[in-house]
Amino acid sequence: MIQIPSKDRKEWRDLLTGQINVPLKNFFFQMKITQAKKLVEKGKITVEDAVDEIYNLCVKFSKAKYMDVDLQNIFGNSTLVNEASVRDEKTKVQSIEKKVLIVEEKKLIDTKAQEKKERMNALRMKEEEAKQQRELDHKIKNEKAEKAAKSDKLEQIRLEAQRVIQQRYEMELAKRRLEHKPEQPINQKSSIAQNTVKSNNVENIKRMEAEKNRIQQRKKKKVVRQKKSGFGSFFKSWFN
Amino acid sequence: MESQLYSVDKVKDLINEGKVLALAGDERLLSQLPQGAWIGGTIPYFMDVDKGKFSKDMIYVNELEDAVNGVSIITYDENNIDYIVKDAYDNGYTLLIIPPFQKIHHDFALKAEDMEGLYNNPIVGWVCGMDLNSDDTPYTFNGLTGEKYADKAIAIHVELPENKFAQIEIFNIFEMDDKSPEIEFYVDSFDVVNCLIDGKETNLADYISEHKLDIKLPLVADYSGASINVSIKEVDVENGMVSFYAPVFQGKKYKFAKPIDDYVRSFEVKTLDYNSDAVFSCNCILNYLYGELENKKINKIKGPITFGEIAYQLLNQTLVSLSVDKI
Repeated sequence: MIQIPSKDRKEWRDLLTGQINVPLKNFFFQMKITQAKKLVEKGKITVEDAVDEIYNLCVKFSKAKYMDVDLQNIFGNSTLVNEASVRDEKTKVQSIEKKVLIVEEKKLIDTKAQEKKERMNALRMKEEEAKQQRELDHKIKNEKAEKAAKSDKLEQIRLEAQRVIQQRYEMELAKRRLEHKPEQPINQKSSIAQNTVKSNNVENIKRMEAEKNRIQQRKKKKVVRQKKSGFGSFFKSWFN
Repeated sequence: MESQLYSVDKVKDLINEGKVLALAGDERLLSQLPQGAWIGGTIPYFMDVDKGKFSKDMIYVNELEDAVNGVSIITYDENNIDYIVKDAYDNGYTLLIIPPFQKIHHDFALKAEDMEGLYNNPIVGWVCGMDLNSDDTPYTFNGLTGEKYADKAIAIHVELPENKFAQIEIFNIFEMDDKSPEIEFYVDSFDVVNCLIDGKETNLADYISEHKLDIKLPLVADYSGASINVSIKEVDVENGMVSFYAPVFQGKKYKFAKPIDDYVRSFEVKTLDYNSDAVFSCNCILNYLYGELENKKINKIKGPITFGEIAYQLLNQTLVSLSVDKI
C-alpha cells in the first residue's frame, strides 16, 4: 500500500491553482483534478475543500494504475510513495514502450519487406519485358536474315531466268536469220510467245504488235503488283 | 466466465442461474429473455473474442462476477439522473446504459461533470444503438422488471467487497494536432454556431468548410493529461451550425485531432496495455466504422460497439474499460 502525501503539502494546492501543471496518467485523477480546478476557478468550492476531497479519493484509489507514478511526479522523490511500486510502474511503462517499439519495428520491417517485394516484382516485370523484347528482336533479326537470304536466292534465280531467256532469244534470232525471217523487236517474254508464231503475214505482225503492247502493259502491271505484294509474288507472276 | 457473444438459450440459462449480467444485443433477442438480475441495451455490432462482428443472433454478455455483496438496478430519466451518484454504493461501481439522442442522453452529458461526488466510484457505460441500415429503435432493458425503454437510462449499481476496488481506463487513439488552432466555446452544448478560433469569433461550420477539415477527426480537449474527444455529427453550412455527438464545454480549450494514418495500427499500439479480463469494456461505433473493424482482431479488445461511451461522463471515439482489482 502506498502512502499518500499529507494534505498539508503545498503541492495539493498548487495542483488546483495551476501552479503545478503536470500531465497525469491515472484516468480518475486526470478527470477529478480537471473538475476540481474548474469548480475552484468558478468559486463553487474552496481550495481546502477540494484538497480534502481529492486526498480522500487518492487514499481510496491509491492502488489504481499509475496513481503512484502521478503522485511521484507531483510530489517528487521525497514523498512517502512506495518507491518499489513506482519502480514496478516504470518497468511496466518501459515494457509497454518496448512493446510499442516492437510493433513499430515490425511495422517498419513489414513496410520494408513489402517495399522490397514490390521492388522485386517491378524488377521481375522489367526483366520479363526485356526478355520478351530480346526474343522479339532476335525473331525480327532472323526474319530479316531469312528474307535477305531468300531475296538473294530469288535474285539469283531471276538473273538465271533472264540469262536463259536471253539465250533463247539469241538462239531464236540466230534461227530466224538462218531461215531469212525478218527480225522482230520483241522483248524477252514476247519472244517465248514468238516461238510459237509461224505465220509471217501482216495479220500476224499486227497480232504480235498487239501482243507486245499487252506484254508491256502486263509488265507495267507486274511492277505495280511487285510493289504491292513483294518480290516473291512478283517473281511468281513474272513466270506465269 | 469470459465476456463474449452467447446464444439466446445460453443467456437464458445464465439468467436463470441467478448470474448478474450486463447484456448487449438486438431488441428481438433481449425481449425473449426471462426476468432476472440483468440490464441490457440494443446494438448489433461487437468486438468479440476473435474479431469484430455484426450479429442479430447472439447476445454479448458481461458477467458482473464481483457483484456478490449488493446490486441494485435503477431506471433513470431526466428527473432523477442527478441521483445516480447518490444511489451508488460506498465502494463499487455503476454500469449505465443510455438511449441515444433522447433528453436523458442530453441531460446526463451536460450535467455529469458537475455532479457532486461523481468521482467517488467509477461510472462506466454506453449509449445503445441499432443497425445503421435499419429503422430499428434503440432500447434499454431493465431485466428485473422486464421493461424496455426508448427514452430512459438503466443502471446497475454494484457493491464491491472491502478488499476490492474498481477503476476505469480509456484508450484513445487521438491527440491534439499541434497545427490546429485553439477553439473555445461560449456555452456547454451539443450544437455550435459561433466560437473563438485562436481568440477570434468565427462561425465553426464556415471554418470547417473553408478549411476542408476532415470531420472524421474529433475535437480534442486536454483534461490534465487525458485526451477527451468530441466527435462531429454534422456540419450544416447552410444554417451555419455544427452538431456533435457529445457536448463541448465552455472554458475548455479544444483542438482538432491529429490525422491518423493507420486506424487499426494505432489501436494496436494504444491498446497493448488493455486488460482482457476487464469486467466491462466498449468501443465507439465511429472507431468501428472508420477503422473498418468488422472481421478484424485488435489485441484482445472486446465488448459492444456503442453510440457513445461513458467514463464518468459521455465520451466519443474512445475505448472504455472497467476493471476490478484487489486492494
